Amino acid sequence: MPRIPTRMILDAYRHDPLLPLLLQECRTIHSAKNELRWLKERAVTVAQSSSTKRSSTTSKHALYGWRGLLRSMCRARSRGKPLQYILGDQPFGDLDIMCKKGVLIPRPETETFTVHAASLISRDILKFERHSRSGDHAAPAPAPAPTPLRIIDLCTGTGCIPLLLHALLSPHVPEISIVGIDISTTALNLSERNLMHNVKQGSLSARAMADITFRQGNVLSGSKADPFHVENILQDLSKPSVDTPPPVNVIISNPPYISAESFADGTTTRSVRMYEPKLALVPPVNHVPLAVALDRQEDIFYYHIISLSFGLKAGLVVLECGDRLQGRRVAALCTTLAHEHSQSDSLHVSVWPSGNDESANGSGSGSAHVDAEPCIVILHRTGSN
Amino acid sequence: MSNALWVCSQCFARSARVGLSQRFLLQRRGLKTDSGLSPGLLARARSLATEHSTLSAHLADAFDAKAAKRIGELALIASTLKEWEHANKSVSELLSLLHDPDTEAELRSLAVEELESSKATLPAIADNLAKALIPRHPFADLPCLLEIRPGAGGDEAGLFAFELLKMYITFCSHRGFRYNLLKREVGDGPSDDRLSEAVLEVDADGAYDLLRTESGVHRVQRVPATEAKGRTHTSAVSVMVLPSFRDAGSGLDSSHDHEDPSSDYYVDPQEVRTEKMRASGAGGQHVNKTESAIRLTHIPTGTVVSMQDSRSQHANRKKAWQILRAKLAEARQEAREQEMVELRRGVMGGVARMGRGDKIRTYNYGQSRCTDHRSGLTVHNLDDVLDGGKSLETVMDSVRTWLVDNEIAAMAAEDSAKDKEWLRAPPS
Repeated sequence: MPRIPTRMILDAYRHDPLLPLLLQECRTIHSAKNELRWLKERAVTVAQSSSTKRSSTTSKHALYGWRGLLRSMCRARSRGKPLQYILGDQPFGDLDIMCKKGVLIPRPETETFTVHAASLISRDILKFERHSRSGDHAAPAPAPAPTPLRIIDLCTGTGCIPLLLHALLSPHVPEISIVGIDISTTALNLSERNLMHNVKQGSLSARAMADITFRQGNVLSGSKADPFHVENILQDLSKPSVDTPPPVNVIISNPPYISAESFADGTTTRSVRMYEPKLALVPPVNHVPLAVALDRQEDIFYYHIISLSFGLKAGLVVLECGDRLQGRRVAALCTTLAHEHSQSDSLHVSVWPSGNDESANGSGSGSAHVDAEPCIVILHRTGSN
Repeated sequence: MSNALWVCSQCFARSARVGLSQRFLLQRRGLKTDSGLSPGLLARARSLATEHSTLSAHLADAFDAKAAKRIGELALIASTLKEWEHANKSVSELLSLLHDPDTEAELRSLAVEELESSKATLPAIADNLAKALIPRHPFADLPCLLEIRPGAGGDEAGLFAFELLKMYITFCSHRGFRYNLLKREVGDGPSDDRLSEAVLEVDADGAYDLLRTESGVHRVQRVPATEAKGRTHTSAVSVMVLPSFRDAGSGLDSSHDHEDPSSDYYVDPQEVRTEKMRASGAGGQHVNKTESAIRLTHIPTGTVVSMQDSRSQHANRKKAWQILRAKLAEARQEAREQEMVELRRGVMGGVARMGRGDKIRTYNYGQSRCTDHRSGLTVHNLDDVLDGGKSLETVMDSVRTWLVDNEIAAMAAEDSAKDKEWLRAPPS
C-alpha cells in the first residue's frame, strides 16, 4: 500500500484535526471527509439521546460528550475497525441492517446483486402467471393451486439478502417463504434481530415475521445423516407435508469465496482481515470426497450449493463470486455437475454483469478493472417447476 | 387536447374563432362596458364552459377518470362565468328598466340602488374569471425540490446560502410540510456552515406552486462575518425550484408518470451515464469500502448530478435520479415557456419575463429590509423573513399576485393582438 503523502495529511489536519486518523483507512481526503461526517452525525445523536436520558447533565456536557465519543470512534477507525462495526449498522437497499463483530458486513455489490435477483424472480413469476392465465382461457381446467414462492439463502450472515428480497418481492407475491441458513449462531442471532428491527422500523411489512425463518445449517456437510445438512433442515421446516417437501424455486447465496492465498497476500485489506470473521470469508479445507475434482479449494461452497440445487430441483440459482475468473470457473462447474446429474438439457448458465455491459457495472475503465469485480453466476432451469 | 393541462393559447384562439365569429361581433359592443375583461378571454371562458357542460353530460353516462379530472379543472371557470353572466344580465335588465319612461319613480330609485351594487360586484367577478382562466402550471400539484447554490461572493455567499436553507426549513415547519434534506454539501474549511450545495425536498402536494415564487437569484447586502474592515458586501445565492416526481404508479395522472416512455418527462436510462467513485482492485468480500458516491450524467444535455450523502450506494443512486429527473423536467418546461414567450413577442412585441438568472430579491441587513424586485414589495422585518415567518409569506404572496397579473396581462394582450389580426384578414 503506498504511503500517504505528507501534503495530504497536512491538508486533512487543516480541515479537521481528526481527519488524518481516518485517512489511514480511507486513503483519500474525499472519502475521509464523508466518513467523518457520518461519524459526527452518529456521535451527536448518541450523545443527545444519552444526555436526554440523564437529564441532569447540562448541554455543555453533552457537547463535550459527543466530541469525546467522536474522537474515540476516529481512533478505532484508524486502527482499521470497519465503519459499520463502529456505527453498528449499514443501509442495505431501503433497509437498515445491524452489524456486529463476528458477522460479515453486507457489501454494496451484494446489494446490487440482490436487487437484480429480485427483478429476475419477479420476471419469472409474471411469465408463469401469464402462462397459467392464457391456459385458463384455452380450457377451463382446474387452475394450479397457488403455491408459495420458496427461496433459500445459504450463508445468510446478517440476513440482509432474505430481508431485502422480501422487501422487494412481497408487494407482488401473495405467498412467499424465505429460509436463511447459516452455520454461525452469532450470525443467526443477529439476523433474527435484524428481522425484528426492520419490521419495527416499518421498512418490512409485518408478514415478514411469518414469511422469513432463519435456521442453523451446514452447507458443506456431506452426509445426509448429519442433522445440520441443508436437506434435513428443509425437511424439518415442512412438517405438515411429511412425505415430500414443497419445491424450492430459488436458491441464492453469497458464500465465503476468498482463497487462502489472496487472504494472506494483501488482496484482502487489513480491516477485513483483522476485524471480519474468517469463517465468512475463506472456505475451510474440506475432506469430503467429491464427485468432481475441483481445481481450487475456494470453490468448494459452489460445488455443494449447485449439487443441492439439482437435488432440490430449484428453478433459479444465483451465486455471488469474487471475480470474473471465479465466475467462469463456477459456470463451468455448473455444466459439469449438470452432466453428472444428467440435467443439462434444460439448463441455462450466465454470468452477470457480462463483461461488455458497461451500464451495468458503471465504471467502464478497462476490462482489467471489471475482471477484479465480483459478479454473479445465474443458473436458470426452464423445465422444472 | 386529451390530457394536456395546458393549451397553447394561440391554437385555442384559432379554434375559438371558427365557431364564435358571428356571435363575437355582436357581443363586442356590449363588452365595452365590462371592466377589463377582453373579448378574447370571454370567448375562451365560454368555450371552456361548453366543454365543461358536455363533459358533465358525458360523465353522467359513464365514469371516466380523465374526464372527471378535467371537469374538476373547469368547474371554477364554469361557475365563475355563470356568476358573471348573471350579474351582467341583471345590470342590463336594470338599465332597460331605467331607460323605460313608464317606470314609476319609486321603482326607479330602487333600480338605481340595485344597479350601483351590481356594478360594484362586476369587476371583482371579472377579476376572478380572469384568474380562473390562467392555465394551471403543469407541475402545480407536485411536491418540489428546492436547490440552493451560492453564486458570486465566495465564502459569504456560502454562509448566506446556509441561512436561506434554514429559512426554508423553518418556513416548511411553520406550514407543517414534511421536508427532507436530500443533499447537503459544505465547502472546504473547518466550519460546517458554508454551503456549497443543498437540495431540500418538500414533500407536500402543491408545494411546487407555493414555492414557485422563490426561483431566481437572491441577493444579500451585509457586513459579512469574514470581513475585517466593516465594509458591506453584496453576494448572491441562486435558488431553483424543481418538480419532484413520486414513485411511479401512484396516481391517475399519466402525464407525470416518469416511468412511461411516452411521458413528456421520461428520462431514458440509456442516455444517462452512471459513475461510481471507486478505487480499482478487488471488491466484494476482499475489501470493506465505504465509498458510496454516485455521479449521473445525462449525455444529451450534459446535466450532472452527484450524490454522496448516504452510506448506501443504492440510496445515493435513487436520490441522484430523483434530482436528475427534476432538473430535466424543469429544463424542458422552461424551454417550452421560452418558446411561448418568443411566440408572444412575435405577436405583440417585448414581454417582460423573469428567468432564473435574474435577481429577484434583496436581503439588506443594514436597513433590515427585504425587497422583492418583481412585485416591488419591501418588508422592514428582515429577522422575521429569515425566520420563515409571516413576513416571508407576505413577500411570497405579493409575488404570486404579480405572477397572476402578468399572466392575465399577457393573455389579454395576446388575445387583442389576435383580434386585430383577425379583423384585418377575416377568414373566408
